[in-house]
Amino acid sequence: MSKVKFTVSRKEPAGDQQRDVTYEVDLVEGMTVLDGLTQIKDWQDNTLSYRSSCRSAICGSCAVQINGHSKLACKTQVSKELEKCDEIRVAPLGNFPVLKDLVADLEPFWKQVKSVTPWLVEKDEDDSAPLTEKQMERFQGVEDCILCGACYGQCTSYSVEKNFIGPAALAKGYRFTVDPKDAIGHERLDKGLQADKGIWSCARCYFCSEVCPKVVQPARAIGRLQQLAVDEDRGDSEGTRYARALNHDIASIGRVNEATLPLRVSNFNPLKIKEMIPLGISLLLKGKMPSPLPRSIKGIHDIRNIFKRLRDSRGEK
Amino acid sequence: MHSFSHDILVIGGGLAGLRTAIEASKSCSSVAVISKVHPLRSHSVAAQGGINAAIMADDRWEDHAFDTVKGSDYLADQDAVAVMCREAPENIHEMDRMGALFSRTPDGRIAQRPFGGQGAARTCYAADRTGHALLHSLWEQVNRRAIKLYTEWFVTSLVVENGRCQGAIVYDWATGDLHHISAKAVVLATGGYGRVFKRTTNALINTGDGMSLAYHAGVALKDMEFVQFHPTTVYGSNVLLTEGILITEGARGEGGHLVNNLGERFMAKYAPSKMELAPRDIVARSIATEILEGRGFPGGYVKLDLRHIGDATIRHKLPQIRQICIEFLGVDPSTEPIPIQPGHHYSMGGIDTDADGATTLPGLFTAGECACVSVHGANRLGGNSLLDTIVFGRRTGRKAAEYAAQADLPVSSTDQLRQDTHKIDALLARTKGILSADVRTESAIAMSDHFGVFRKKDVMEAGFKKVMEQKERFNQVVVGDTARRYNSALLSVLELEMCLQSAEVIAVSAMAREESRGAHCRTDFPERNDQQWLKHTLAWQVIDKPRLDYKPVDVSMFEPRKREY
Repeated sequence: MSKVKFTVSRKEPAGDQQRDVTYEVDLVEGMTVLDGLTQIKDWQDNTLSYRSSCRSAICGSCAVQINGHSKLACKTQVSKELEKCDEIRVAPLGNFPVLKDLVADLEPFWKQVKSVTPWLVEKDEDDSAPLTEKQMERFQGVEDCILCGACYGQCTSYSVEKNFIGPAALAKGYRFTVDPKDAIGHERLDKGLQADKGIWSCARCYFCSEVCPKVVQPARAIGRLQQLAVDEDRGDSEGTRYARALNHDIASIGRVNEATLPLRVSNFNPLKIKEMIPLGISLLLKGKMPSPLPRSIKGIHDIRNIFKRLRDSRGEK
Repeated sequence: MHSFSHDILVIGGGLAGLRTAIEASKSCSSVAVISKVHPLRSHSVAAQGGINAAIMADDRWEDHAFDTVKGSDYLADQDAVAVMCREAPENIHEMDRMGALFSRTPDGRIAQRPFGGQGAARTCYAADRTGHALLHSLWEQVNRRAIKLYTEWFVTSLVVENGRCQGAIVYDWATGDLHHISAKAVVLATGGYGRVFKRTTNALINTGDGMSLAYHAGVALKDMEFVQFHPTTVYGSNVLLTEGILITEGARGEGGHLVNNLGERFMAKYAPSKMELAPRDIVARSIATEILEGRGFPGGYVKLDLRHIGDATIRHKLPQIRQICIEFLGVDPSTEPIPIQPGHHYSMGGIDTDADGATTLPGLFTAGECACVSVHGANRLGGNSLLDTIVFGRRTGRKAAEYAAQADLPVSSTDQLRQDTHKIDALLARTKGILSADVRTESAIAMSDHFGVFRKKDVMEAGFKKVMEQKERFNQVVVGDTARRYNSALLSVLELEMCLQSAEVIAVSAMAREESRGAHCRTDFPERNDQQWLKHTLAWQVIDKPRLDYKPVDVSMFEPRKREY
């Protein structure tokens, strides 16, 4: 029987000492990483702990890092991994504290999910209203999310900012924002989803969509929330103003008006302006202050044409 | 060793458990749910096909009830079936209002598809992940309410004193501590016992915990011999977890065909009018027969052909099983048939209860798959289990709240806590012994081989002997991990003990029933015998063995007739 090497991250509950332990596992055709972990736990080392339940990629228990990527162990084929690496390295999901071995502490994850009011707030009437195919299409697959946490394990923003609401939570927020039966609907963008570390803290790296085992595409959901916020000018948020200012600048002169951008983003807030003064002075002294009246770029007519066509196609003026 | 107390303690965080908790919380301010996994990891989330309800104007709940009773081979209690079918439509609308995203018809109504054993297309669905849609909606609604959740806590015993259930002893996986939670009302909603069998659609967590807890607390387990083998589970290697993964009946509902190695749609021989949509027990037996008589494929399977349904429909209506086939089998169902064979799927039997979730033990209630009302009798129709959890979850929540409102907070001794502490200490102290995986595998193989689709006296007796051997060997099992905290090996051992208990009761009940009815098919007693066997089996724990008793079936609506499709 051929063997495959599994290098598994081990850690005791008390203390931070993490160590890698290598196991030799029978290589069976069609086996998944979860099959390997099960072999180890059942027959070689009963002390290994990991979460698993359905083994059919629907419960979300077994999200871990496999050769550096967040995946569900139960649907990761060992043979596929071996096409890229010569062993299977298994570690707990990234960006979370580790409780033991491959068991991550997902309390921070649940906290973020709960923070977006993740339930349908019914409208007053006894609503058994129809939901058309078109209305269902709005959801775009976010309803498939199994809340496994893999996206947070790979999220660039979350890795450096633990207050970032995060991909799955924002996707869940998106689901209710566009749900015609939700009483709050788009108003969820007024505060909640545009909170300090909300949709505008997304780095747009698309790692979440890349690792999502259910093709939920959280990055797309976040992008749509941003679009809604901009289109409806919701929430009095810096993120919305920034997007609008950029859009306006490029449509009119083909480049960013850097000198006035911070003023427009802060909405001419005197307190914020006061904070910017030292930087302004420093730039002036170094001769790096950009002109507040920048010229249009060459080819601005082509740019304006592009914008006109985009607006026409969206039915906007 | 802290002391906790709640008015209502729900054990199990799946559909039945959460529905019970939500309903109870409407009138009771101290409701708690304990789950050994995060509620969203409960096996309810894996349910694929749908939930039945006579919501269309031209459908009647009485027809749904008749289909259910006939499907049950007349063992279901018809008064309880009437309750379930009559309350089904309002429960569907309530789930819609809770945010469950059902699939819709072109004009925006909740869509329904045909399902096994039913005269009308009344199975509401959310693509092919209906359980996921329902469970997530319930969990979302739980978060709105002041319901306390104890996640990754494992119940080791119920506390029973002065003829009343007074709470539970629970093991906190994170700390290794045992606690006594006091409760006026306890609700068991722990799901099925699938892992008793080697090949099962069930999750690794389905180890019959609630059934074992109730049994040891002196409550009878009803109809345990009725084990549902789902016709279409993935054919795979028997050393891998892929074996037994569910392919929903919805695939047949959307028009899928079952074919043998001669390319025949063999269901024409066994159920000419319903074909692939005959009830599950009939389809499972048909497939098993084809395989036994040499018309299966090497290794022992038949094929589920979806190619003619077309890629577009498969992607739209059966996206999840498409993913399962591609990811777990390397098969694209729009270009290749799927290899399938029958596997355990559902536990018709369970804790004896009524249509309000009460048991014979005051203070103890139960709902969902771990309960046996009975609405499924000897065979469950697809789409009725999700319905069961929601309808009876709601009713049990109300009943438990009513009970708790007039009950005193119990005062218990520390006897059970000390007993369980001692038991766990002893388990952890053993340093040498048999690996639990060995006992678990041997027992599961024995159950699958000897108590499967076709049963016979001498085969069952041999199987029972093997199971009892494993039960004996269990006493020498070594945990293999002496740690106090996050000891998953200890949990595996405690779950194994519960599995073995269910296995024993299933075996004893099956050997005693000398007829064929629904999913219990005996080649030595091939006929249904209403004269002697139109009754429910009750299994009580007497000292260390199950003692069987029987009780009548309610047949007030439909007279039992020969069951043909």
